Amino acid sequence: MNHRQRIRTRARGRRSAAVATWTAGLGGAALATVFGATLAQQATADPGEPAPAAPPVTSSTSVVPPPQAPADAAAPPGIRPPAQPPVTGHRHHAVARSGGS
Amino acid sequence: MITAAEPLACTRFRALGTTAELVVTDPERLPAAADLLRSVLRAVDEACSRFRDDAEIAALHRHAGSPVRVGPLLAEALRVALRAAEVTGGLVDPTVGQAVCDLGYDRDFGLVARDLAGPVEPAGRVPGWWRITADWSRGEVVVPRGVRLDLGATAKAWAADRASTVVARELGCGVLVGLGGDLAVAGPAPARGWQVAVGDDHAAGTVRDPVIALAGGGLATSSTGCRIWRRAGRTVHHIVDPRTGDIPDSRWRTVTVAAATCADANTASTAAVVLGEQAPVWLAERGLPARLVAVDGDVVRVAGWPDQAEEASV
Repeated sequence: MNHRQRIRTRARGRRSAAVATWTAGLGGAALATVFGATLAQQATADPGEPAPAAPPVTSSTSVVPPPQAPADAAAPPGIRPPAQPPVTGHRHHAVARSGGS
Repeated sequence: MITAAEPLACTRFRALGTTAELVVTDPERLPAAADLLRSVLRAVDEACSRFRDDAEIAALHRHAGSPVRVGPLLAEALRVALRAAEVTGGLVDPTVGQAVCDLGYDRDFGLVARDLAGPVEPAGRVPGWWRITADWSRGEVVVPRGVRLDLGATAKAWAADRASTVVARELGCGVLVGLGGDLAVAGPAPARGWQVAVGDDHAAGTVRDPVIALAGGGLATSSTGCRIWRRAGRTVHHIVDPRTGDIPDSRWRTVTVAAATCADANTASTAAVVLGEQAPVWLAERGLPARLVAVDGDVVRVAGWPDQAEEASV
């Protein structure tokens, strides 16, 4: 590896670190999880190139569990169960409806 | 619907092409809460409506292939939609816009002809959410040429989350916001929780509809029995399978999901309709309490959804 190649290698490393740092700074794990791939893709893509033909591969920096996901959940990042499951209600006390629209 | 024992107040009105429902735990704050809700919904409509030429999202289509600067509201709506696509492996995809239009839903639903004669060939797999590129630091988004966005699977639910959070924060009371049957709650809940009836249609209930109580988060229902029309002799609806560009196989009539947010709940309920037979396992693996009603009326409950005997509550 000559001097010029070493400089390029260091620059690539700095760019990757900057993307990861910026992503984390946006608001933590969830945003990093969700947008890490998009940002990584954006950071490396030539604006003139056509859009990719397949989903991006999620980088290791983006595989962070969402803030409220239980530790033992098999859920992928982002799908968050409720803190408490719904319980039986009482018809006379219903205040709203959920249904198709 | 509210009993005298509950110190709650509610109102409802039309917005985003459906019914907006608002319930607060402090009746005196209802007018102010309604103003806040209307303000949030107006802003969301101006940013995200695919039926308005002057909506901000329309600029992404007009300038397809080029970076377009978007405001923070549309940026957040897009992030929510892209996140939904990623966490469902593309089962919920905002690039279904053209497929939905091809089925005939190309204008406000009130103006869609209920019996369209022209045949339509499903376009096949939709372009794919990963084709949307963004530089969020610059607020710039690129929608490739030929890609049409439809944020319908997430935008209403996200708007409910956003509005409920704003009302609770600004007015300091408990609040439930429902948009077309997709509900978000925030702030302190009533003593009995937020009691919600669940059925096929948010606007028309029956005495057999179960009632559940929510402590927080969101609840969403996706249905293949509402917002339907005829196209070339078959009944179609607004939920498209991104893998085929067509409506999914008819397994579920209605899927209701509880989650940490309404956007998550609606993402999961839409994905479940698309998944069909695999939906109960998919939901259970994610710990998402859900109630699925099959086309033949059979009910499946997963991940802690109250059982049938409990549904008989009065």
